[in-house]
Amino acid sequence: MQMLLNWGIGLSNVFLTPTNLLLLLVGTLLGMIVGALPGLNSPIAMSIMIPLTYGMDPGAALCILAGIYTGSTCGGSVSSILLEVPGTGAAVVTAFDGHQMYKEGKGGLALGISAVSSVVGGIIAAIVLGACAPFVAAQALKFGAPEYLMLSVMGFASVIGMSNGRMSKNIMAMLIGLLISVIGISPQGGIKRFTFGTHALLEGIPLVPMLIGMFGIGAIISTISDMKLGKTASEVVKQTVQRVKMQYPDKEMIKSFLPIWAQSSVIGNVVGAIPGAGMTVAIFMAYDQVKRYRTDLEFGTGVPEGVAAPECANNAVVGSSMIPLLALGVPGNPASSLFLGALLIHGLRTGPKFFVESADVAYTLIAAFFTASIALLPVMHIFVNYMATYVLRLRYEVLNGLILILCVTGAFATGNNDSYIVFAIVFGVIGFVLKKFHIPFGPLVLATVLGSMLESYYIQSMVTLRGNFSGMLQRPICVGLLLLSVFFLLMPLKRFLKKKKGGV
Amino acid sequence: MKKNKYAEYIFSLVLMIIGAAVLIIGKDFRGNDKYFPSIIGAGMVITAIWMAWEDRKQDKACIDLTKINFAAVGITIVALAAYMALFRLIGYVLSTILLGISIILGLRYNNVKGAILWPTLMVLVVFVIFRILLKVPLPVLFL
Repeated sequence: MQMLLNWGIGLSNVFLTPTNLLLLLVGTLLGMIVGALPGLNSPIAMSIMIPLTYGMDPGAALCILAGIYTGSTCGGSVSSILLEVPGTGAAVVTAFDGHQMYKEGKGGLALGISAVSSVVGGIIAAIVLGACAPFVAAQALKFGAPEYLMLSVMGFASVIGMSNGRMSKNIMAMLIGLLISVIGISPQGGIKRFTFGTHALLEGIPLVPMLIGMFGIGAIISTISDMKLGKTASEVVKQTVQRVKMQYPDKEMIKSFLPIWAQSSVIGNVVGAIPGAGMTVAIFMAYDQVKRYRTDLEFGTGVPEGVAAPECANNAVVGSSMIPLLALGVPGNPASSLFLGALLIHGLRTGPKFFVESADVAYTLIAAFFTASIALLPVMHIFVNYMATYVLRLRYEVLNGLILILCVTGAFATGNNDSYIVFAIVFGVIGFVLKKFHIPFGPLVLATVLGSMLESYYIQSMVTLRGNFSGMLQRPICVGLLLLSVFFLLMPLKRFLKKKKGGV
Repeated sequence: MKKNKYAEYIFSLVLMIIGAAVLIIGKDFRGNDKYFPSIIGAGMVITAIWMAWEDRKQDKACIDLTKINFAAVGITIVALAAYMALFRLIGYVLSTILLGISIILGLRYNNVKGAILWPTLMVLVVFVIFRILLKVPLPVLFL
C-alpha cells in the first residue's frame, strides 16, 4: 500500500508538475540527439548538464537526467541504423540487422521497431526498479559495517568478473579509482594523504569535475586526436544519410516480438542490476539468445528481430542499473555515478536510507524513468521524421568547441572555484590517455565512489569484529555476499574454459 | 608496430612507478591510514607487471600511435593550459571565447566567421544562464 502511495507521489511529481514534465521531454530529446551523434554519449551530456541542475529542485534535476539517459540509449540506434556507425556502445548490435534493413529500404521500419522495443524495455525496467530497489534497500537497512564492507568487495568482484576486455586493465582501472579516493584528509586519523601541500586537494578530488573531465573533456581530446583520418565524421555523414520516415511494426510483428521482448527484458534487468556488467554485455546476450530462439532466421541480413532484441535489452538496463545505486549507494555504471553526483550537489546521498529519508525524490526518479520510456515513442517520432538528418549533419568541429565551453563552465559552477576547472582539465587529459590504452572508466568511477566507503567500513568492521575477520563467516549476509563475490570472480575462469573448449 | 608495443610498455612502466611512489609515500602515514595506500601501491605495481606481461604475449598493440594526431592534441592541451592561466586574469567571457575559437579552428573548421560567432554566442548564453539565473559568480574583467 505504501509503495503504491509512493508511486502515486512520484508519478504526480512528474505528470502534474509542468516544469518537471517539460524538463523530462527536453532531456529525452537532448539525449536522443546526443545518442545519435557518434562520439557523444549520455555521460558527456549528463556531466555537462549536472551543474545546470544546481538551481533546480532535486526532482526536476533528476527528470532531465533520466530523460537524457533514456533518450540517448534509444537514440544510439538512429546512427546505427542509418549510418552503420553506432551512436553509443549500447547500439553496436543494432547495426548488424538495422543497417541491412535500411539498405533494403526498410530503415523507417527498423527505427520504428527500435523505438517500440526501447519503450517496452524501458517501461518493464522502471517497474522492476520501483519494485526491487525499495525491497533491496529495506533489506540493506539491516546491514552493519561488515556487511557494507562485503558489499563493496562484491561490487569490485562483479566489476572484475563481469566486465569485458582484459581483466588486468579492469583491475588497474579500479586501483587508479581507489588511489583517487584516498587523496585528501584520511577518514580515521585525519592526516593529509597525497595532497603535496596543495590546499585544493585537502577535501579530495571532487566527483563532478572529475566526471566532467573524464567523460566530457577527455572525449573531446580523443576526437581531436583522431582527426588525422582523412574525412571528418560530418563529411562521411553528409555523403551517406538519406531522409527516412518512421514506420511502426504491425500487429502480427508485435505479436511475434512478445517472447523476444520478454526474454530481452529479463536479460537487460538482470545484467543491469549487476554493478559493472553494463549495456554491452546485455545487448550481446540478448542478440545471442534471440539467435538461439529463432534458428529459422538468418541474423545479420536485415532481420527485424535482430533490432528488437538488443534495443529492448539496452533500455531495460537503463532502469535496472539504478537498483544498486538507489538501494545500496553503489553506482553500477558511469551514468549512475553521474546521478550520484547530481544528488550530492543537492545534499542527497543514495543508499538504504534514501527510500526512508527522501522517498519522494527516489520515487520521482523511478517515475521519471517510467515516463521517459513512454515519451520515447513521440520524441523519437519527431526526431526521426523532422530532425535526424539535420542533427547527423552537425559540424563536429563546432559541436566539440561548444561542448568544451559547457564543460569548463560546468566544472566551475559545481564549486564556484577555478581549481575545479583545473581538476576537470587534468582529468580530461588523464581520461584521454586511459581511453587510448583501453583502461575502462566504469571500474575507475565505481572504485572512486566506493573507495572512501570501503576504507571507513574496513576500520569500523575491525572494531565491530574486534580485529577477527573470521567473525564475518558468522554473519549470514556477509557469507552470502562473499559467495556472490567468489561467483563473480570465477566468471572469467568460466569464460576462459569455455573459450578453450571451443578452440579445441 | 614496434613503437606501439613500446608505448604500451612505457604506459605499464609509468603505472608501476606511480604504484611504487604510492607505496613509498604511504609508508610514512600513521597507523591504519597507511593500510589502504600500501595495498593500492602494491596492487598497482603487480597489475602493471601483469599488463606488461600480457602486452608482450599479444601480437597486436591496443594503441595505434599512427592514428593519433599528436600536434592537435598538443595544441589542445596548450590551449587548455593557457585557459587555466587566463581565466582569472581576463575573466570568464573573454578567456572562454578564446578557448572555444582555438579549439574549433584547431579542429580545422575552415569558416573563420563561424568559428568566432558560435563560441561567442554560446559563451554569452551560458554566461546569462549561470551568472544571472543561477547566480554562479563567474569571474568577469570589467564588472
